[in-house]
Amino acid sequence: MHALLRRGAIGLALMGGGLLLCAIGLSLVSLVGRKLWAMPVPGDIEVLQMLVAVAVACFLPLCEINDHHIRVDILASLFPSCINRGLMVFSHLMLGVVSMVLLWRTALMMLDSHAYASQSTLLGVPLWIPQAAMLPGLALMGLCALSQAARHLTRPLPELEETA
Amino acid sequence: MMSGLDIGGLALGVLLLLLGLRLHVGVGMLVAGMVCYLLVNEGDTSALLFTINNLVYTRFSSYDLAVIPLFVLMGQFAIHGGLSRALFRASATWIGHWRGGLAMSAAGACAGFGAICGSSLATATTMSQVALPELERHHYGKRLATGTVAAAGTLGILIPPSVPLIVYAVLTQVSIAKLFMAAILPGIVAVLGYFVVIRIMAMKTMRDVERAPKHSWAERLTSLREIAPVLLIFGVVIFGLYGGWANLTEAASIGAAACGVYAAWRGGMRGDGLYRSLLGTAEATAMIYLVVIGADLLNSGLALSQLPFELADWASGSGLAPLTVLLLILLIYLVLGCVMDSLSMILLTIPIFFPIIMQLDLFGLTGPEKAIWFGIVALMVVEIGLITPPMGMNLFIVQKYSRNTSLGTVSRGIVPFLGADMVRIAVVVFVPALSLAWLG
Amino acid sequence: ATTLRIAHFLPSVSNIQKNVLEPWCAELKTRSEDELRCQIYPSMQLGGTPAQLADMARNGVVDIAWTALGYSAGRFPRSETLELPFMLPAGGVTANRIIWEFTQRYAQDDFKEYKVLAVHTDGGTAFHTRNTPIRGAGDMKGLRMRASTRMASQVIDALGGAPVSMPPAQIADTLSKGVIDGAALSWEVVLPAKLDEVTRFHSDTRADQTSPTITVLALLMNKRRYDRLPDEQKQVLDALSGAALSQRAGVAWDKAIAEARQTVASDPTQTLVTLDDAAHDAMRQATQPIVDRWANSTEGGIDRPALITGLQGIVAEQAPELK
Ligand code: NA
Ligand code: NA
Repeated sequence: MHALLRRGAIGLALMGGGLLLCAIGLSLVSLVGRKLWAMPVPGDIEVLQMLVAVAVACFLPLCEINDHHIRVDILASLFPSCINRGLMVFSHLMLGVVSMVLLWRTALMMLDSHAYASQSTLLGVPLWIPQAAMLPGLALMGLCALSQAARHLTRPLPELEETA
Repeated sequence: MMSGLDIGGLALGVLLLLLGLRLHVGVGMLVAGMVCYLLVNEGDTSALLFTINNLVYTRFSSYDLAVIPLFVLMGQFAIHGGLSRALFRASATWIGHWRGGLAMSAAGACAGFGAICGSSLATATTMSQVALPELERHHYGKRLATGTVAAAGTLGILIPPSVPLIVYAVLTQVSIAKLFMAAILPGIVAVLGYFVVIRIMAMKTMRDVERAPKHSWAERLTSLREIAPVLLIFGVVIFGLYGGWANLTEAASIGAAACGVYAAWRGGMRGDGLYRSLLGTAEATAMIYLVVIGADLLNSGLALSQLPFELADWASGSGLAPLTVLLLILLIYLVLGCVMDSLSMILLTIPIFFPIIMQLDLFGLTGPEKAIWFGIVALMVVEIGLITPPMGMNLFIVQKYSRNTSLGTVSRGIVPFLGADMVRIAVVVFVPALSLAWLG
Repeated sequence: ATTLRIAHFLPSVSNIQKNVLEPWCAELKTRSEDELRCQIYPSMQLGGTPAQLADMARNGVVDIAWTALGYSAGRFPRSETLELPFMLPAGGVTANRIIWEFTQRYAQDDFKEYKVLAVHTDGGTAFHTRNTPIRGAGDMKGLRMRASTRMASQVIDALGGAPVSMPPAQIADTLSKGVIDGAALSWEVVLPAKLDEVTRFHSDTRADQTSPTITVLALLMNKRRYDRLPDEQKQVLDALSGAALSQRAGVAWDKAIAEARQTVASDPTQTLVTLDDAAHDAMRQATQPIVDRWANSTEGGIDRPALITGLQGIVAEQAPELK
């Protein structure tokens, strides 16, 4: 299960990376077009914003499955290992809950954008499209967090550190 | 009814508790922000839920923040393209034969790498791998070697581009281009400070250290050709930006593309390099944005509670000298820096401290000048957090890459560099012209 | 005491905050004997985007929001009448009297979920260009013009220009780089957006001519929050809001507009163009299809032609000399 989630997270992150490369290409084409032919790509800014928003959402699960989200570990060395284990379960569980809340509310926003036909200002791209594209990243981050919590619950800490 | 100070204070208390319990920083901030909203609205959840609706898309699609993944990718390309090694070799060719010269070369290479990488952790990581083995081979003591790389790694954010500066600019609506320009001179002062420390340490501790051979001028010029792309990329990004023909996003795109081309050309980056660059970018970016959305909710929650404004009123009406207030704030940064990372600190503290600073009369600076100058000062103090024990990320990184070295050794090695940093912070604080000189 | 949280999207030094909201809040405070206070959050300090401001007030994230109605496309359909081309005079005081009366008589249904504290104009649209003076209807052909609202972009389109949208902070920068040729904006923002440094020609309507289009701005309060105020506070708020507050905004705008025009007029490198009647008529002709298209829509079961007639009636009463 964990390995499957990791593969999913890597795949999603690579897709996000691809979107980021597209954003770079777009911004270069727009710059060159503007400089050489006074012809900027219309709506380059809003497209870049959408690309980066989706890309960042795609990046979230990988960071969680590798447990690299920022934490303050100052007190960790003071606690005995069983407490640390409990804290890690709690910490990943909280990220799982928060991911689900963000997923739920962002999905609501997407439905709202759809209902009111919100569009980007220049190109009129329906905003629900990029918003919907962010949902898989948020959902997978939640799953990865729950899987991390389950792993800490079922396996002792040293074993986890070796496999990390 | 609770006052703003009560609510804000309670939320910050909740945050500290959660962080102590090893919650992710972004999650802790989100929860503390929720506490703020619920208390301010007396349990009514509609305001909170509506704010969360917009939270993720609004922040992730922010045009100003979009440069962060671009700069992160640029740094990743530089790492996988072997740029760090080329930089270290080039500076060793020039100054490696001085007393302590190889350590200075490592510091110089960090500065060069910092000019195309927006993160200190990435700078410290790549330079540890390149410089530590060389320093060991030339019998540099562990303390000096690890201290140098850990301290000089902070040049990754001191020298633009810099992720914390971008975030500061977004929070305070100061021009990112101006902040980057303002950071250049203090960054150079930082490098010089590290050179002085290395020189003094070298005189005291390493009479028997093997000096690297002196290189001919022909060799030196050849070495420059190797790193010419770095200078070019930095020039394009910073001066193109300041000259006004590209905006920051475009400058960052040029930089990332140029580093990618360079990496491919140097042969250091085939399919595998690209794969690792993209995954590295994904992790670093995700790390930053999770904290950003947490801080976003916490900061609007604190603003709702009016804590920042009440604190600012209190500070300006307290009768304390403005300089005392400033020093108190810097002290808080130093204490926080012992346990928190730089980005979380900027995100957490700037919304609280910035209104206070803007109300104080400091050295007769105008509002916009003060905003830029304080950005540089804040950057310097949070950067110190990376190298203060017990929680200094750079210390951990350097220890990981230095064989058979304890954290204690690294921590002792960093002390003289911390001294140099303190002196530099004092200079930057009391000589605002250092940060404002090039801004006209 | 009650603290009202007011959010808007401009900096704290903007006309709306310095010359409208802050004096208004000061008066609320004195008249209510310190029972009503304000906390103003400028520059979207509470997060979100300007397009979300109206929703923020409706959902109670803030008590009061100042926003452009056009940011929330489709949510204030009746008030769109006010933005139709060549309907209202430029400037603040007279236009705001008309706007307030129209809102009260015809557009109440737009604001069912709010307590409306003020509705006012941005002062009307003038055309600020770099190299090409706009003297007649054909002069805009091919020019890339920044438009601030959907209606403004339709007007530019109808006049043959290419409408471009971008955040206000980028206008001066992109103008100076030649990415766009001009901007359709109220005089009120010329100085804060530094347009006087990057454009040379400013085409304007006379006092007795209608403006190409206006932007409708409004100060909206959360309805539940208003209903729960003690009666004395409601009375103070009512006395200082509505027509009175809209007039306060009108005065502040007229002052800012006069100042901007003065600055530009006294600068020898700048040219002020006033549209003559023929050019004004030609532009109105060119934009008539926009009005017709809008009037023919029956979306939401709204009788749009009646709204137009109603507005024209009020204009004829309040500004009889207007062409
Ligand atoms: Na840097
Ligand atoms: Na530290």
